[in-house]
Amino acid sequence: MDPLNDSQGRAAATSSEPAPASGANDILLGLLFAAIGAIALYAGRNYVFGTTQRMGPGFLPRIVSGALVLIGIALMLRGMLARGWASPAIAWRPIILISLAVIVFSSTIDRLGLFVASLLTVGIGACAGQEIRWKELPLIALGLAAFCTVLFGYVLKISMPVWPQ
Amino acid sequence: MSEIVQSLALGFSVAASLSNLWYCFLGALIGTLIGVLPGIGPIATMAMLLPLTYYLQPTEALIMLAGIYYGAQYGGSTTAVLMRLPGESSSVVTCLDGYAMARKGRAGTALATAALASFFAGTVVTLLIAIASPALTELAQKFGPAEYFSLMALGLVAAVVFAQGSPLRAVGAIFLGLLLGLIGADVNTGFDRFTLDRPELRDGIGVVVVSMGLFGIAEIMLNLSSGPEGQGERTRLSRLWLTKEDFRAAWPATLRGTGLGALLGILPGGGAMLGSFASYAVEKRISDTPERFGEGAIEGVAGPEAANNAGAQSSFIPMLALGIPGNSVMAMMAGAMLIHGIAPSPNLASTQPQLFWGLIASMWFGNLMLLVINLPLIGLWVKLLAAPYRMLFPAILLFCCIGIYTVNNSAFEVGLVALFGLLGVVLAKLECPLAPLVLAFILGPMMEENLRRAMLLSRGDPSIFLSRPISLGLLIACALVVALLLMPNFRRAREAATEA
Amino acid sequence: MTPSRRSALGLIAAASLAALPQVATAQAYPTKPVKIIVPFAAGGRADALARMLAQGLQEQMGQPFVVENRGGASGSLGSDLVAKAPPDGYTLLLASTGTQAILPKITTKLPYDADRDFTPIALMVESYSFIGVHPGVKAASLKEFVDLARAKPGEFNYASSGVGTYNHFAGEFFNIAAGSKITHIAYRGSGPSVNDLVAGHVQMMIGGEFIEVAQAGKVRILATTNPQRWPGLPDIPTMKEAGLAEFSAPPLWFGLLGPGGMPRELVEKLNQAANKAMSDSKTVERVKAAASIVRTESAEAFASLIKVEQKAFGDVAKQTNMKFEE
Repeated sequence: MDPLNDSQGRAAATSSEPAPASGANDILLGLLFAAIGAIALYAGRNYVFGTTQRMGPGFLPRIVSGALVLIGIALMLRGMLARGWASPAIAWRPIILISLAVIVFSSTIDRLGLFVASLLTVGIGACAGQEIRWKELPLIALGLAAFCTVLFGYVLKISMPVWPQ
Repeated sequence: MSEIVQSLALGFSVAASLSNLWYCFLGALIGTLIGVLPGIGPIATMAMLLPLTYYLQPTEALIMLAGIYYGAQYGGSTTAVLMRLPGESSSVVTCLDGYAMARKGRAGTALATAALASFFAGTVVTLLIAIASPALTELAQKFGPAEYFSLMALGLVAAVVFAQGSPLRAVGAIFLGLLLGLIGADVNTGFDRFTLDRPELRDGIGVVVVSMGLFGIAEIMLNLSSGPEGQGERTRLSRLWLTKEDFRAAWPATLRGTGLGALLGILPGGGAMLGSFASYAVEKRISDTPERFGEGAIEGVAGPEAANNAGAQSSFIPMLALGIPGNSVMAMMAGAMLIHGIAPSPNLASTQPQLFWGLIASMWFGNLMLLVINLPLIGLWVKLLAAPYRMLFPAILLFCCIGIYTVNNSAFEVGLVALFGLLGVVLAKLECPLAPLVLAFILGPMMEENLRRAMLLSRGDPSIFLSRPISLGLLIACALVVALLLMPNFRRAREAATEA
Repeated sequence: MTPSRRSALGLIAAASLAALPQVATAQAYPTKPVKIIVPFAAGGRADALARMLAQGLQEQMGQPFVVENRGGASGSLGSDLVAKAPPDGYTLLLASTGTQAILPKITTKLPYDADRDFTPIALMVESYSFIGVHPGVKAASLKEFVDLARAKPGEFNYASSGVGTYNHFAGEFFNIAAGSKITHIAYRGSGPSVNDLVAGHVQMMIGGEFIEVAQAGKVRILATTNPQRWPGLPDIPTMKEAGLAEFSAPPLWFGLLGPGGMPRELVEKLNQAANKAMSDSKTVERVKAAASIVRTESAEAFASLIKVEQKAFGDVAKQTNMKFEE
């Protein structure tokens, strides 16, 4: 192992990281960077690289994704040398439900219009909360959907589908 | 000089007419409101109101539209501070320390700082436009592709300054941002890159989509998954105003932010956004206690907020002095003039003095009105935070979705926001800084474009970057920043080595 | 009844049923608000024109005409919406030379057929383009500039507001006509390109975007590329008069189109209404401010104009190997 790399990695890990848990974080983040970089390298494999004189559309993509892979590897190495190993705890339910709510809005707004899309989004999104009050939830959804429909559809008159088409 | 005084007097007499004051107020008010609503930006709003301006006098129309733009800079900081939602792309930076201040119960102070800094910047730049437009335009004209490239390179290097903690992670975030910025049709050849054959991706991903996802949606997810104790903090608030120490810290930052924002706003493509990033980087760099940044440093709110308002207003300079719209908002202003049969031109000041000087003078009135609108609202906004989070977050979520949809009427972009929300959560959990990513995302495409343009113009000779004095100066600044960045690390590494 | 006769009768019945409501719609049209899609961002020339037209049509027809901006992908996103809409006249497109004649010639990835999926309705406006050079270029006339460009191949650059835009094509038409080698530099939109022309980072541009700047002496106009002189600048010669008759780029236009297969009567009705709206004296004045003139032609003349232009741009695209996919 390169001793310079080692000392730098250790120095950064010990001095500028607040918590020792970052070893696992470094590895996971490095993995993420390297994976995205590799996918981009693959996706852009046919883009014309060109020359420094006349750079093609593939010039920067290749360099940037290559660098991302290298940084990812460096992060993984640093993570393996660090001491802490606690991996971050992630609560999946709110993350999945909020994403789902946004995706539902995106896939219903054009056909079902603002009112229905708002109802669905708020309905699904509100289930992501820690304490769900089942009596309150329909009221919040209806109230917000009605408020936004009036505000955007009739007061601001934004050109968007308001009712199912 | 007396000529300028005369012209300004004419401007103020035009702007102070009852109808012009009314439209100025209307613009400022609408601007504040749409600034507060995440996603719905000034461009969409101006487009919506354009047909209405058909019935107005051209001066009234332009005064109102201008008010919407700089008004949005005031409003945009509100949600950034309260909910970590950048209401406008130019208030992304305010999310960092403004939101941190709010979490410490200082939301009122942060909002008051933002409003005061914006007002100060607005006043200074109004004067600047009146006095120095031609000279500043001359300066901006010296910026060719080589200078732009060097400026963007400096911006990227400075982006590492935004990092909290490990610089290596920040560098990774920068490259990820650059890569995301490459998505879309290549400007120099029209070739599609990483578009997955989706025509929606040909123009690239919008800054609003990226920042709304990474900051806004991700913040909701993080809040909900962090347990009830994480949410209790936000509601405590002590005061709405600034203490003496706050003033002392915010004042010089405001001054520097105004200067930086005004300068960067003049450059075509600049607008309000670049200045706010630059100001933050500068404040953090020159601070004696850079570790406070990200934890609620008031300079990190005052500087960028002054800068984005200064930039919003100084981006009028190329349009007013040369008739060339520098960004899409100015293109909209030019469009509004065309509807009235007035072509934006370098002779606007002599052919339409009433409109020209009236518009400039109205900016000062507008800023004053914005201060009057915004300061009393602070109490209201802060009270809104007292609402239980379980009722608040579905509303934020819905506003985000609707806001993104209205930008381009694109359901596809709403879906992308979900994706960036997920990415934001993962990166935040892995302690990867997000601000450098967003900055690189904004700067990357401009940098590539100008790099390749410069190389085309020089027929492949890279010395073009060193032979032009402004470009050379910027590159030297780049080298200095790199050196400064490396030094403390070397020192720490040495210390660590001797300890071990 | 034999099956074949039954089906023939059925066909006739279906045809007459289908034809009936069409006639009815053409007479009663419009009975609800009409959408005019502008396939570009708000604030541009196309947007301003659409709003003027909407205003005029609304006054004549008594129903709201709503302008909707659907920018993106060089105009193909908004065009696609119209291509896929029912041809009932309630979804219209404000198209340009760029979307109808140029785009189909430089990309194979359009989600629609540029000919079959649209019905030309009315040519609204012809825009004037000019050859402008930076005042530092040592050429007082078009002839001097052509000589200069030929004498120094590879020294000059011309700006465009993007790959495959009208400025880009016009520049290539110029290179072909003059036998010069002026390098194309693409910008993102017309603001930055005009800025760099004024600043002298590039030396030439063909378009109408810099006319106001030129009148203030920041750009030197050598000729107009339209077949006749621009009434606003009667001293500026045409390309032919200035000695470059070989230059053959068709002028830039903006016009109104509908989805493919619109009934004839509906097209006629809209054509007349649009022509009347554009002939309004106030509109004529406003169009003039953007270096353009109002053109009122029949729908057929408009359709054949598009055909002619597609061929001209297609030829140059082939000759210069200009396309989005490499």
